[in-house]
Amino acid sequence: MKQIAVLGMPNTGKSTFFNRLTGAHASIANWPGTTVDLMTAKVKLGALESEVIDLPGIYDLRGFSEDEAVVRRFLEQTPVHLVVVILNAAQLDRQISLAIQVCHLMLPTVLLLNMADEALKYGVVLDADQLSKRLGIPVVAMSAKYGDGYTLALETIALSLSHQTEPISIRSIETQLISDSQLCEQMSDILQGAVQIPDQIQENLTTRLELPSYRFPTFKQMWLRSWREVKHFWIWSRKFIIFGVVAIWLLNNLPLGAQTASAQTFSGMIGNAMHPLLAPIGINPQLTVALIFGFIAKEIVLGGLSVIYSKPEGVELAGAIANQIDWVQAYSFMLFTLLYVPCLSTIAVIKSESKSIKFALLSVFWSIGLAWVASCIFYQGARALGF
Amino acid sequence: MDTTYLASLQPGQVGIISEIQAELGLQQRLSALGFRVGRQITLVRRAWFAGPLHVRIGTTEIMLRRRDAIAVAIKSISHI
Repeated sequence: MKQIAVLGMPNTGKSTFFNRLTGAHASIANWPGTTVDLMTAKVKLGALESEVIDLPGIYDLRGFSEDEAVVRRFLEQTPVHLVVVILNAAQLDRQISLAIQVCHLMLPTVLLLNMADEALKYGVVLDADQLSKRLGIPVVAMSAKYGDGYTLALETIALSLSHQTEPISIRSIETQLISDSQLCEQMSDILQGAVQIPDQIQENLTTRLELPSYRFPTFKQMWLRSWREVKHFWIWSRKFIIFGVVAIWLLNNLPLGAQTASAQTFSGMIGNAMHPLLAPIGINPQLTVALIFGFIAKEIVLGGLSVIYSKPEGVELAGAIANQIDWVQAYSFMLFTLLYVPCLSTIAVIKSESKSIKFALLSVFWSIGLAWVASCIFYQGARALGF
Repeated sequence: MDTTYLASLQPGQVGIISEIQAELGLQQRLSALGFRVGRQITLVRRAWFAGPLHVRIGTTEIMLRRRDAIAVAIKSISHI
C-alpha cells in the first residue's frame, strides 16, 4: 500500500482534487499524532493500491496555526511515498513559496497547478516545464473542477509512485526549512520568466472576484457531498435508534419480576422522579421516558413510545396513548418534543465547531428551558381556559 | 517624511509595500498571502465602523483587520 499526502494552501481546490481522485469512497479518519480528523481514501493508481490523505490547507510550513502544526507532525510521524502539492495557478506568485518549502524537505513531490482554467482568464501565463526544471519535481497544470489536465496529473503521480518503493518521513522539519530571505530569493529565481501574472487584472473580471472568488459547484460535486452526508447519517442514526429502543425495553422490563412498564420498573422510577418537573406541562411518566431517549436522537421517540405502550406503531399505539392523555397534553408533549434539546449529534457538532463545552451546555439548557416555558404557557393556558 | 501605513490608504489608492513590521506569526501569514516588500497593493474598499479592509495584491484579494494593516508601511502612493 502506497501512501500519498495531499498538501496545499487554503482555497486552491485541494479538496476538489481529492474528491475527484477518490470519488465517494473517502472517509474521515483519526490520525496518530494529530488532533483533527483527516479525510482519507484508498484508490488504485495505475497498478498500485494507494492510500490518499487530505491534509488541512496551510499557508506556510513554519506557521503557528493549529493546521500548520498538524501538517508538520503528520510529515514527521507518517512515512509517505509521495507528497502532492496543490497550488492555485492564478496566485502562483505568492503560493510558490509553499512548493519551495516542500521541495526542501527532499520528499518525493509532484506539484499540481490547479484552476488553470481560471488563471487563463486572468491572463496568467505559465510554463510548467520550466518550473519543473527549476524546482526539480514534476509540475502539471490542471483543473480539478472540470478535469482538464487531470489525466496527465494522474499519470505523473502514478509514475512518481512507481519509482518510490520505500516510504519516507522527515526527522525534523524545522532543520530543513529555509529563512524568509532565502525563500524570497528562490521565489523570484523560480518565477522569473516561467510565470507571468498581470500586475493589474482587468477590472471587469475583478468586480466579479470575491474573497475567495465564488466558485459554483458542479452537479457531481453536489451529489457526492450530499451522498456522503446522507450515508454517514443513515449508518449513524440506525445504530442509535436500535440502541435507544433496546435500552427503553430493558428499562421497561427490569428489575426482573416487575410488571412491564409499571411503576416498579426502572423506567417507572425515572418517570416518577421527573414527575414534579413535567407534571406542570401535562407530560406523564411514560412520555417522560420516551423524551429522555429522544435526547439521543428524536427519531427514537416514536419507537420508544411503541415499546413503552407495547403496541405496534400506528392506530393501536395512537389508541393506547389517546386512552391515557387528552389532546391538550398531547399538544404540550409535541411542543416540548420539537423545542427541547437538539439531538446528541447536533450537540457534538456544536461543541466541536464552537470549541467550547460551555456553549454546548448553554445550547442544551437554553432549549430545554425554552421548551418547558412554551409547553407550560400552552398547557396551563389551555387548562385555565377550561379545556 | 512621515510613513504611510496601509490602514490609512483610501479606496482606489495604489502603493508599494516598503516595510512590514509585524510579529513573526503575522509576518509569515502576510507573506504567504503575498505581502512582500516591493509588491504593489491596491486598497479596494474600507468597511464602516473601523471594520476590515479589502485589498488586492496581484490576483489575490484579501480582507484584513485595520489592526493588522497598521503593520504594513506603504510608499509611492498613487491613484489608479
